[in-house]
Amino acid sequence: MRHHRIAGWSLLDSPLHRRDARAKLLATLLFLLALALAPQSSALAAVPFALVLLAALFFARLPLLPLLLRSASVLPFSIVFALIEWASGHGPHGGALLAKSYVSALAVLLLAASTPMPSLLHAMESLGVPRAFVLIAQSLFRYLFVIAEVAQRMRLASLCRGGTSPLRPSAGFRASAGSLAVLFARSQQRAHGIHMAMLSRGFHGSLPLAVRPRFRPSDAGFLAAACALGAALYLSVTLR
Amino acid sequence: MHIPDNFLSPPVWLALDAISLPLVGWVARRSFRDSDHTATPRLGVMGAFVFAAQMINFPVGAGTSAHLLGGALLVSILGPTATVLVMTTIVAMQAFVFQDGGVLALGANVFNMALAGVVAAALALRAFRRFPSAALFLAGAVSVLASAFLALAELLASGVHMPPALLWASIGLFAVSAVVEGAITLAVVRAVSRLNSRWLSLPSQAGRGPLAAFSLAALLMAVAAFFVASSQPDGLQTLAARFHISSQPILPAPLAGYSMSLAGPPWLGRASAALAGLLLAAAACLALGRFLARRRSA
Amino acid sequence: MTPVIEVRDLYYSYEDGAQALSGINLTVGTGETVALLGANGSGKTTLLLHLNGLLTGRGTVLIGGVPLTPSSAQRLRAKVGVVFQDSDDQLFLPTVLEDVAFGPLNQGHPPAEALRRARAALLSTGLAGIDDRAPYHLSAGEKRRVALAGVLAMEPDILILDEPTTYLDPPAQRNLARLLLALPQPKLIATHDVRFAAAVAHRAVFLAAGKIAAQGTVEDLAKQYDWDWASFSPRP
Repeated sequence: MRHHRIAGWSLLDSPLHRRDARAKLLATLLFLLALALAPQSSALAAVPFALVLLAALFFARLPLLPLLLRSASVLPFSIVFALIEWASGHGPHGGALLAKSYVSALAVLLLAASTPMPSLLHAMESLGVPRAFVLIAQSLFRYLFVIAEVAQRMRLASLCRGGTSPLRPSAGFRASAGSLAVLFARSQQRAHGIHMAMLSRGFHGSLPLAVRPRFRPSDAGFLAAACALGAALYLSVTLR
Repeated sequence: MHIPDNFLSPPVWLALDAISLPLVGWVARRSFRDSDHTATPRLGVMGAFVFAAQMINFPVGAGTSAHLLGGALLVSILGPTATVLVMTTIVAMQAFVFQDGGVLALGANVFNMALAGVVAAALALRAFRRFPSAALFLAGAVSVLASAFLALAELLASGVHMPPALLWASIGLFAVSAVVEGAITLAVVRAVSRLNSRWLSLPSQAGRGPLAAFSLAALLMAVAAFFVASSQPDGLQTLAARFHISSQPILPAPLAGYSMSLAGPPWLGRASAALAGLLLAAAACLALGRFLARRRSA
Repeated sequence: MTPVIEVRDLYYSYEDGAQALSGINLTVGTGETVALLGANGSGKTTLLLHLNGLLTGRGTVLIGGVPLTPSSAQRLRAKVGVVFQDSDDQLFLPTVLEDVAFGPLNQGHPPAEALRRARAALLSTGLAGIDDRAPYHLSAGEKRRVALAGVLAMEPDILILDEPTTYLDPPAQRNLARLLLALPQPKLIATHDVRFAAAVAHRAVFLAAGKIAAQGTVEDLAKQYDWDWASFSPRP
């Protein structure tokens, strides 16, 4: 699946990968904020931000092209709206929207590609996200691939028996509904199995945290630098 | 409909972040008050199910296919409160991992899809619990309509320009996806109940309290949405201009003009016009839902 | 000497009324490994889930001489380590180390001690150096051993394994057999794999229609119930 690659990237090693997830999360939010507050009048405002991101990509030792392509998933939405703006005589505004939304998506992708999901979730929890969300997200992410594989196998099995061309669309619709119901039943069984396995290892309601990451001076330095850089970027495009 | 970053103006996304994130946080803390997290793995697995369910295509005729969005289906399985938590997690995961929807716009997307969409579905299920098929169809349809119209309103309030033709085209698109989501929700819930009806948590006959609570919540959300819109005079002017232009109808439609002359500040008139539009759309869905339900059971 | 597991007259029926267990009597002694054979649906998994109180039927289950009741179940679950058939059910946390530390944390150990036990358990199952891996990226054999480590980290007195060879290729099956032989705990292993059972178990019981139909060596039971390939005439 597509997002497999992001999980793979997040396990690489680089100066950026080694920073504490909290510092990276806050730095990303600052970056997005500075970009969002920058003027909407021209696409040029996004250029300094893009340059900073490219530098960070380089330090993260991540493959440039795949990341640039991956974050293009925001473009269908952006291009449609940019074209609308252009057609209604607001070309520069449309260009700015396009550029800024793309750079924002790239910034978030950089965070996801340099931070393993468990650390990112721990960071969110220590920044105040309720534990329930973190736990739901953990098991969602854990079983996403498992259940998607079931769905994939069901799709293949249906293709093998000519499932693409039902004689009547309504029959195909009902067949899809049936396979979704089966997928649901499997998910339900999975949830039950997990629950039984948790109980048998002494689970009694609370999920204590085993590993607590440490916030090192270098992380503080990184965050301070990100703050300064964000402010500088914002000023550089607004004071011009 | 996931709004990326930078399409909403700062007052809009800030206000929606300030409304929805604390609200879902409150729901989470309330649901897991005694820090008993026994239910969380199941909720996560259900979230993964909704993700994976989007891989299964439904033929909708003319060679095209659609997939489930899942809000209403989850409400009929988990009930509204748990669905708010699962949908919030899904929307956040889409933003952070899949770049689907913005991070600063998370509050807006959570508001549209995890709060308004879920509340709309729950209301439909409650209100029509005597006609289960119609209720399910409507739940799917109104959850999509509520999310999509809110997203559209937020974009317009942020000063995104939208010519009337396009506005109508997108409204038509919303209507189609609403009908599709309603039909998928109904078909899947029926198939699930044939497997094991105990998996469903459809609202029982009793319980006026929750209905009142949900109506109140919906009303509060609507008020909040219009408060957000009115805090943005530029956006509102654009909105007004758009709706005004659209009074020269390109498509003859009963709602052309969208302007009901009401006394009071202009934003109030516009807000009520928009609300009336939503209600009319919901009524149309309702009629269609009843019609479909009758045809299917016949 | 007290048997580590003693089951007396255990009956259990599902919610839909189907009788799953109808009068099970079974003992497992210290240092003994018992294979549990039987057809699909004969009640093997149901029986195993009674041994740590996840299911409660009519009858008596004694663990180390202590009767299993709702009030003692939580304490006895730490003594009875269950390895589930589907490792994905068991490994639900995002990293291997966190998952293995889950049991010790539930036992009330402080995080540092839980992590120490988790690392030791991983080492004893031959899985050093995969602490931060995601369970999803492991092979079936690795997953099974992580699941076993997650149970061993709780330092149980008894091991229960449900179909441990499912999804494993033959080398991984042999690895698992070697690992189980090296563990001192008494074990009860439900399996369809007669060769695996013969390799690890001292004796076997055969479950049919919710009853213990026969007891004996794995080889004898396999012959009696035609449970392996011996009677199969090869391709002409």
